[in-house]
Amino acid sequence: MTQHSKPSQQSEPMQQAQLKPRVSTWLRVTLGVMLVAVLAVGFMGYLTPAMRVSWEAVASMCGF
Amino acid sequence: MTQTNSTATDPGKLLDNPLAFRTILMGTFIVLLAMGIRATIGLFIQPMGLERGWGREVFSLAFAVQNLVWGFGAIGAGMMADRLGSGRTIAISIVLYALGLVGTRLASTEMEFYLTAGVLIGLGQAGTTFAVILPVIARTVPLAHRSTAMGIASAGGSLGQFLVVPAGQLLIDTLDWTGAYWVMSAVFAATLPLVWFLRGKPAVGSGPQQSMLSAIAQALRHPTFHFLFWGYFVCGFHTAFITLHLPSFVVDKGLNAGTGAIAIGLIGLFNVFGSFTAGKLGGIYSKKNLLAGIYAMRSVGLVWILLMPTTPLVLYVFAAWMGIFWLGTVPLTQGLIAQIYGLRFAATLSGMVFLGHQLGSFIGVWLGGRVQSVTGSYDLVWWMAIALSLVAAALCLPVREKPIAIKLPGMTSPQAT
Repeated sequence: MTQHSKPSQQSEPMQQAQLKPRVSTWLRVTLGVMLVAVLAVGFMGYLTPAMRVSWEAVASMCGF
Repeated sequence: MTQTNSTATDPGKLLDNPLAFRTILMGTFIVLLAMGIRATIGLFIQPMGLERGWGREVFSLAFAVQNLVWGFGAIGAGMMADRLGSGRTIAISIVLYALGLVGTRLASTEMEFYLTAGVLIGLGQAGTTFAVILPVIARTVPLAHRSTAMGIASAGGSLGQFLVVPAGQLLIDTLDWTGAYWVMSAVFAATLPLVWFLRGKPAVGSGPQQSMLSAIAQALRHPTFHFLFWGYFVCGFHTAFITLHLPSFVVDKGLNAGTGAIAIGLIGLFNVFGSFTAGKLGGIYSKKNLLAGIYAMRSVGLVWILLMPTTPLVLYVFAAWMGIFWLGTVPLTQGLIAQIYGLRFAATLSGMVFLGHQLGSFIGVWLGGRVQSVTGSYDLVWWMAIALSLVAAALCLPVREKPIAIKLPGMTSPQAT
């Protein structure tokens, strides 16, 4: 059964107020995806041959 | 530079608050680079040491100087931020940091290296990291989101440590170590305009005001301040001892370099989540209980690595576990300082407590090496680290989270905040 949405009777400012969290949600999701991608690339950096050689020096200089 | 007092009061959503969002973003980015670039020094031992004829001890001493200057400098930077404004303090610190990187590139003698990589960069760090940046964020963000915002900035520092190290290695591989220093100094100097968004001083009300010296004296007489100081001391002891001596531990147990590299990556990765989560939870639950929990949980990780047979999987679990509880202490400790002692001198008091962290780092590094050379093993220090975890957790429990009554000049009894 197809449901028809009723035409909105809300005022424009109220509609905008309801839209705001959606913008935040999209921003949050985008930032989250970007963060995961950056973290994944960063972690791959620790698997490179150069980092396998340097990790001891990084750690010994209190790198973290 | 224009000074403003920008205390936001509207809770709303953090992402929908442009001022708060912008301040967090700019502050986090500066902390990210400051903490990240600092973490790359170990990468330069081989190429720079080879060219200059310097051994590991030269780099170690420069790093020790840097850590101590950072610790003592954080007090001065905090005072400057509270008195003259955070914008000027951060700007001067960025310039010192960038000059320190350029100077490190040009240093041809050991003394020049100590003065640039040690003193200049240490001073730069003092004004571009947690003690100064977190109070700026704290006073801009609505109270309801303060702890989360401090968690984001702390996670930014952790993210910097995690990301800039492999990026620095890439720079060295492609541009040589000299080019890497030029690029890092240019990138850090380029953050200077961002300081505009972090300017301002803590709000000062009308009527009689508490002086900085009086605020310091009052904090020093307050037992909670000492509990936080010594808790941070243990934090520094753990992080410095574990990272410095982990390589020897890994080699002693017969694990290979690839395993060690992954372990370091895991500490960094989980540290990002741990710092953010600690800040987020600090806005919901008691900060002192969370802080006690972090210190107590560290002891679980330390017991795990000591008692379990050392395999790659055991090491990875240890690294991830310790990563979760690595810098989560930062937003909670600084959040408690802001909560208990107020925002007026938060940077100064944060700097003073941070000195405890750096002294703990110094002792952790020194004691680890000393015990290993005397007994031929790290076991004693590992057990000390476990005991200190529990002591630090216990020290958090009597912390009084209620804001103190500020002592004003000419008043016989303190005034409640």
